[in-house]
Amino acid sequence: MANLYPYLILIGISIILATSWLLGQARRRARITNELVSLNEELGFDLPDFLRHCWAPLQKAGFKGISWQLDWFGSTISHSEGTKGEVFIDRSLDIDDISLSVHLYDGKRRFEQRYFSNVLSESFFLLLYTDMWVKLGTVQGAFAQTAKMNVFLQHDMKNIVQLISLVAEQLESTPAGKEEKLLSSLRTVMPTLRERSERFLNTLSTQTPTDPVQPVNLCEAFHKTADIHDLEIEISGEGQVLVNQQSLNSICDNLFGNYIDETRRNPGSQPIIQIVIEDNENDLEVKIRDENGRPCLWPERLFEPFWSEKGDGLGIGLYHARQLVTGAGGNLRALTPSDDAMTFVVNLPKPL
Amino acid sequence: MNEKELENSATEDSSDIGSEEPIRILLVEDDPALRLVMRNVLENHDYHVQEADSRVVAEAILKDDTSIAAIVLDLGLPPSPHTTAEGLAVIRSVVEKLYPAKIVVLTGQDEESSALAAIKEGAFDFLSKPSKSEDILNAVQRAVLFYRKERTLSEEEGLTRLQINAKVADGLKAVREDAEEKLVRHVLKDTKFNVYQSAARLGLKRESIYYFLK
Repeated sequence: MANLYPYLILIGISIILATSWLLGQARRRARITNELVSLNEELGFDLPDFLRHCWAPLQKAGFKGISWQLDWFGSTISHSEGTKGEVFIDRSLDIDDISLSVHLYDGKRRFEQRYFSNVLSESFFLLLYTDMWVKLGTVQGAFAQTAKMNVFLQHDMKNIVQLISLVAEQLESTPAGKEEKLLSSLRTVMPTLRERSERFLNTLSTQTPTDPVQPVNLCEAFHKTADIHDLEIEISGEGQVLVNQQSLNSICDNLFGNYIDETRRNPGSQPIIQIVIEDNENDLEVKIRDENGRPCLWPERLFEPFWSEKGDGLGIGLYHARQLVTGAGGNLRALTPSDDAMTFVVNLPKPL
Repeated sequence: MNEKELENSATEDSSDIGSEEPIRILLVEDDPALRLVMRNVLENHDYHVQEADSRVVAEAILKDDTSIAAIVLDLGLPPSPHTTAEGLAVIRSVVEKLYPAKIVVLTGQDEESSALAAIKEGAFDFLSKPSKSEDILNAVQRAVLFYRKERTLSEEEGLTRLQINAKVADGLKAVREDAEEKLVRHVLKDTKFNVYQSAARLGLKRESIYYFLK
């Protein structure tokens, strides 16, 4: 038995050495995979760029060469690096307007080397496939949003043009004795027209207003917006916040917009909006809640741009409000209990 | 009918109405400023205008006031002002409930598809925003003219205009059933749902009327 010990020790050492070597190889391939992932991220998940720069890490992994042909929205580009051989791993990927054919040339590998090559090449192909979907998703999303935006802007713009056109015609041909009536109408119409045009511009603008920040009375701002939308609100507490007036109007407008939409969907249910203003050390915390409100079914979607519950809204109201609140140094979030009405919580900085 | 004839007919109508109540128009538009200006345009031409800013309000007014001759309708109404759903629902409601008012669609929605949908549902005329007040008034005049002539034909000659959307592929049976149902509903409405009178007017047995009431 004692004679076997040296052999057993030798076998043990061999196993340890082989395992260590395999672990080393696995770690090396993992590092190369991470390198590829990082490179793809650095290049903004841009498929043509990634294909042009991926050879260095692949070469480190022991591949002999790569060749690819990419049909990118109708333009065909191809490229090759290294040497071509008879042994290769190939893949064809095809989604809508993008198709790609890749050949990864490899030496004659066996056993664990072949396994490592396959694992790395599969990770590489997965990255290429992801890039294709990222690009298509971005393109399709952009088109959908542009189309949606066009529908909204055209609708508002056509109403504004129709209004101006009718007013201009009436100014030219008002029947005698009806001038006073026209003037009275214009007194009502013009401020509304100005407000609509400003909103129209606000919808188009993605920038935070550049006017200076100033102390603004929150209660006054809430009441003003509520009056415009014919909403009933009850406020407890009061205070001033340091914010741009236009931003605050827009924030109130967008937050109240949800309750207005809800009223329009369910004409019988008039919202009872309770607003509680609490004075914190550095900011004012405002809680806005509709006592008649329903639980929010899509809490994760509330602030997602271009998403609306019924698909009938532009879906940038709350996103825009959050951007404005954050831009003013505050915070906007929503408490969405599953069995109770949602509460918006707005924190805005106080004047020093 | 050319413009001259139309103008003459409209003048005749106006003079008819001069001694009676003014022609009643329902203006369905969710933009308050535009609604006010359009109201002025119509009132300056002696129409009596009622306003609605949504489908629900429009339907309530139509239910209460059956003497409305024409509806000027914006298809994009709340809660989804950027789609035609609510406006088309108003047209459908007018057709289904057999209101005699003629619908003039005035909308900023995508012209071709909206016009097709509106006419399919039963709109009388279609204008896209922006339109001249002259065009709007002409369309309203035409609608009122048709409303009045149909009313005259109904009162004097017992004629009823039925609107049927039929697919040729569905064959005559589908058209006949649709026409029968609409005619019975029309007569039932005229007789304030008096089954006996309706059956007598249509020359049917009362049981047959009950069949349509199902």
